[in-house]
Amino acid sequence: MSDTPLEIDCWDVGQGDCTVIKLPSAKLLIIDVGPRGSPLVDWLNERRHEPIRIEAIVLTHNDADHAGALPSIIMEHKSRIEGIWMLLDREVNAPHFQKIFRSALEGEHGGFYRIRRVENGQTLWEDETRQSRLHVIYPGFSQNIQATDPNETSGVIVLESGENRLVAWPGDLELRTASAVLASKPPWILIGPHHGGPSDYPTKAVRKRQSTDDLRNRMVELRAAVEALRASRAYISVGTKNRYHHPRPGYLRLLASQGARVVCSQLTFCCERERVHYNAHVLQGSALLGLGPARTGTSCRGSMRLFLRDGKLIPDEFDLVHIERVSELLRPQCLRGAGWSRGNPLPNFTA
Amino acid sequence: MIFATAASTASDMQVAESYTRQIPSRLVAYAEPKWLKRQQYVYRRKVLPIEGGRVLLRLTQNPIVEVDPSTRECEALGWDIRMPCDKVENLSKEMARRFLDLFSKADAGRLTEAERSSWLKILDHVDFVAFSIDRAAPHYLEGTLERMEPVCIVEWHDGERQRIDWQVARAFSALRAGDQFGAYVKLGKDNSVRSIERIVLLATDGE
Repeated sequence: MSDTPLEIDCWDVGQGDCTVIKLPSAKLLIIDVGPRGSPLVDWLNERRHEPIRIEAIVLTHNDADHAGALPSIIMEHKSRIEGIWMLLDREVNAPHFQKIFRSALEGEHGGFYRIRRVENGQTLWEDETRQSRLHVIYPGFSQNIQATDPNETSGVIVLESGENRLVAWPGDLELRTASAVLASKPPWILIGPHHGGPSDYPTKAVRKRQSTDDLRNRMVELRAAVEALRASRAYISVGTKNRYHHPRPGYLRLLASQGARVVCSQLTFCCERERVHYNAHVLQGSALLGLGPARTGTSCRGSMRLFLRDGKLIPDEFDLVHIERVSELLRPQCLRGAGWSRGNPLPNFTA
Repeated sequence: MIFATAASTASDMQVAESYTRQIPSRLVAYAEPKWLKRQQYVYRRKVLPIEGGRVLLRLTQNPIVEVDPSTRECEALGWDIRMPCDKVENLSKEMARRFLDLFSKADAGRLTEAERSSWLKILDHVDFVAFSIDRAAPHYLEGTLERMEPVCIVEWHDGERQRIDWQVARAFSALRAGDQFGAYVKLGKDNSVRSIERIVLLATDGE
């Protein structure tokens, strides 16, 4: 059993986040379920008659793009779920929270699973033979209580193997906070944060309003935050048709300039407007991996699969094809940030 | 007419066949006549029915079929399908079958190296999102019926308001504005609502 690799599927759900981890026991552990209409629901529905168990559904926070599909999943698959982890990230009586929480609560009242709190120190899964552990490192109780914004208290979940921190899911946390939380042990791959548009990363409009000194100081801080993260890879789960101007091209270039291989789930206007217009996918990763595609947007990488074997993360076999196809885009921000220009050999990220 | 091409297929094939019968093979090898070369045709069908037409496989571009007059076989380029020319009416079936075969293998994680590259090529010519949407079962969603007239507006549980097409909105005929409901909703591209069924009223606060 110890030979079975851990499979980590980062799903393309459009604008939102969803990761499905296939544990060696064949159970699933889901970190965020994606928005309403998430392809994860289709995938689970198609496997209605298979003996799939869901060890836990963990919500980094309760925003619609992370938790919107929860009622659909609970209604159809509550008997398969063993636990739900969520946190209180807004007023208890807030309608959005109530609607998400009510569906979760009904399952708990029915005796199907228990709801637990996402809080620093909680272990979600552990395998002693592999020395692997998935646990929560943020927020603490007081950070959760003091937060004034749902994104501020977004849970940070990390997968560690031995001494190495392999994956970090910082949800929609600010970049500087995520960096402060993760800097002591930087992850190999960073998921996000906040769909490539961390809320402390200035938008074009903010940049215009801010004084040059303020902006310079802010950018120095953000650069330091990215440097501290030292991630080798970043997976940006972003939707083509999002109204928040995610991802920020500057953030992608900043990540890439620090040596990170940046991979976006969907193509956005900042890389090539024409392809988006004609809905010409770069690589349909979801289909290639046998997963359901997002109902919206134009796929760039689509879904991505990682295998944890012998303490190392190995990306799926479509990684090279993707980078080759990305190099054909008009303005590939992920490659531009890495200093690549057309006509030159592609950067060797594997090193 | 399935094929569109400048040259007429049948007559060329007959001439080619009679030509091969007449001329010794070594002469053919030195100077291959023009009509014995492989010819490419555009296959005009772009929508292939699966599951009796309930699910459609939509191609984003017309497949190219290459005909080899010497063997009288045709090949759908990029699909790895070869078949005798006289069986060409089955090509759409074979393409659908090939797609389903690779889809099932990808789903089960059983693709070989060759199949993987073939799957990669095929996906470039197929609207996989539309195929998946056709196949998908309805999702259970909760929402509030904001109003029925003049247009039907629903606020879903995630806070997003959506205008529902009047034909689909007929499913709400028994509901009043403000009612909270749960229903199985067939979602289309961009989460558009295709159909609504099995509606249940949810208890509102205070009831």
